[in-house]
Amino acid sequence: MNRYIRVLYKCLQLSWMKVMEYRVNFITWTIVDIGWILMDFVFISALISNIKMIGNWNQAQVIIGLGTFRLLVFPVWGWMFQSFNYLPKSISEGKLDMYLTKPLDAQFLVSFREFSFSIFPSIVGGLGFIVLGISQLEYLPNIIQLIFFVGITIVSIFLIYGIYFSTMTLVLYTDRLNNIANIFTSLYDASRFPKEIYGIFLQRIFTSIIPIALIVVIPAEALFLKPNWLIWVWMLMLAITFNLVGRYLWTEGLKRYSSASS
Amino acid sequence: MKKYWCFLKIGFQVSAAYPASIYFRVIRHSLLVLLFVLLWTALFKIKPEIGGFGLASITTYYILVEIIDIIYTQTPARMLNRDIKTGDLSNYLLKPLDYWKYLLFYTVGQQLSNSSLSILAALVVFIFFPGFVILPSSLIYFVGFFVFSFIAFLISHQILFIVGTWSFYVSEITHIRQGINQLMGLLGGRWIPLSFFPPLAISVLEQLPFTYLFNFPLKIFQQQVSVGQMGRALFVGIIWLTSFLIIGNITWKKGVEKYEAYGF
Repeated sequence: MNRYIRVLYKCLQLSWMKVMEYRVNFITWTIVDIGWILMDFVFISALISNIKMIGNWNQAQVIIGLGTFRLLVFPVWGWMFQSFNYLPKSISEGKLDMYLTKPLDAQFLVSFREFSFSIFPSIVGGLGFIVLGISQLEYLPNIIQLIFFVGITIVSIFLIYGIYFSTMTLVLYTDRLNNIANIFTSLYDASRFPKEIYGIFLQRIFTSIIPIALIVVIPAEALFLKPNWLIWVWMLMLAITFNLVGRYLWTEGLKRYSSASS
Repeated sequence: MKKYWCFLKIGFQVSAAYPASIYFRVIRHSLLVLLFVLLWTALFKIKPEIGGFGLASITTYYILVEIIDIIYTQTPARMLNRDIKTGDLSNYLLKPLDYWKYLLFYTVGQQLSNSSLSILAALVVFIFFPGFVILPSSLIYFVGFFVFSFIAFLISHQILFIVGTWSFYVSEITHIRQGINQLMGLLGGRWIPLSFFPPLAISVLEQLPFTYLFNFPLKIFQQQVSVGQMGRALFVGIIWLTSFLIIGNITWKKGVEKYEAYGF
């Protein structure tokens, strides 16, 4: 376990060094991230100035949902997308051998290969939106709700990783699939709205088979709704299931992998 | 000129050699359209008109945005950056060909392959879900839409070529490239219609070249501009394109003077 923590720390260090090596790149993406935060705010403001409710969320709740969405952008775009983006190219060029021949779990090495620090404004923006939304609520969340919010957000990150990694393993079963890292991020963009906007059938799909309707909504609702233990347990079960499925697809897919360079 | 048509064919073949990528592109674009339509259907149940759009017009907007987005690519910036970083650019400089033309034809070939299935999928939507989309009633708007989409492709291609030439000065431009791409989409109406912005912002954004990338072709398709306005916009669009061509030529020449081949 210590070895994994040390390697993780090293990967973080190397990512930071790379970011500082190409500072213009870093600054540009930081500006882009700030731009996205502003655009989110403009879009939501335009929407809620026209309609008072989205699904069964009022304006304050929509802003909290947006804040949670922005907060989770950090693990999705700052960690998972950065690492997973290399996987299709590694496989097509045979560079996956470098991970498979190391005395560490290859899934760990592939999943924590790189991080981006230019997504940091999203954390600030996300927290800002959450505070803004809470200030417009009729009540303040108590400490228990805040603890549950943190806990369910961690479960949500675990679930996001399971779904994202499972989709990425498809690259082991097909020919070159360079754009697969964008499939999940496209789905993620749609997760910021309450599940009630979908019909009953699609709600079932988006809360089970492709649970994008849970990953942002449930953590956000922990701040302004009563605890719903059933949905939280369901989310934890989904997180475990998707991670197990991803692991299975990964190990089975590696059996099909043949290096391109050796 | 014949050699450049070969590059078009090669670009097409390289992309078509890996069909899984093309299928996933269709899935991704279809998913995005479906999710947008579901969201806006739910929103329009509450209020029938938002920001000047009704359900059919906003659905048409997002379907068309996805169709237009299919034709854009970051390939010019990506390939130029790769060729400069690896030193492969020297190969092209030594050969009797124009690198810009090679890139253009290669990109067109690649996009023809990448986009073919996605455009077919979009046509299926138009045919089987007529209630969700509003087609132009006049042929001139169809023709205008295609003409402006072509101009938009050239503008996008040229902007990204200019971004690619920055690789002569800054070796890593991945995030710069992606950032500029996102910015072009934002300012062009890719993510939200420009009519959702404040009026002052709209008047500024409509003067910028990015409006030709999404906003203006969509306005033509939705018959929100007159033929006279199309003509004026065509003139301005060509001026923007010419300006970007001149800037690209300057940045390319300056960059090549500075270029040092790596890997040799």
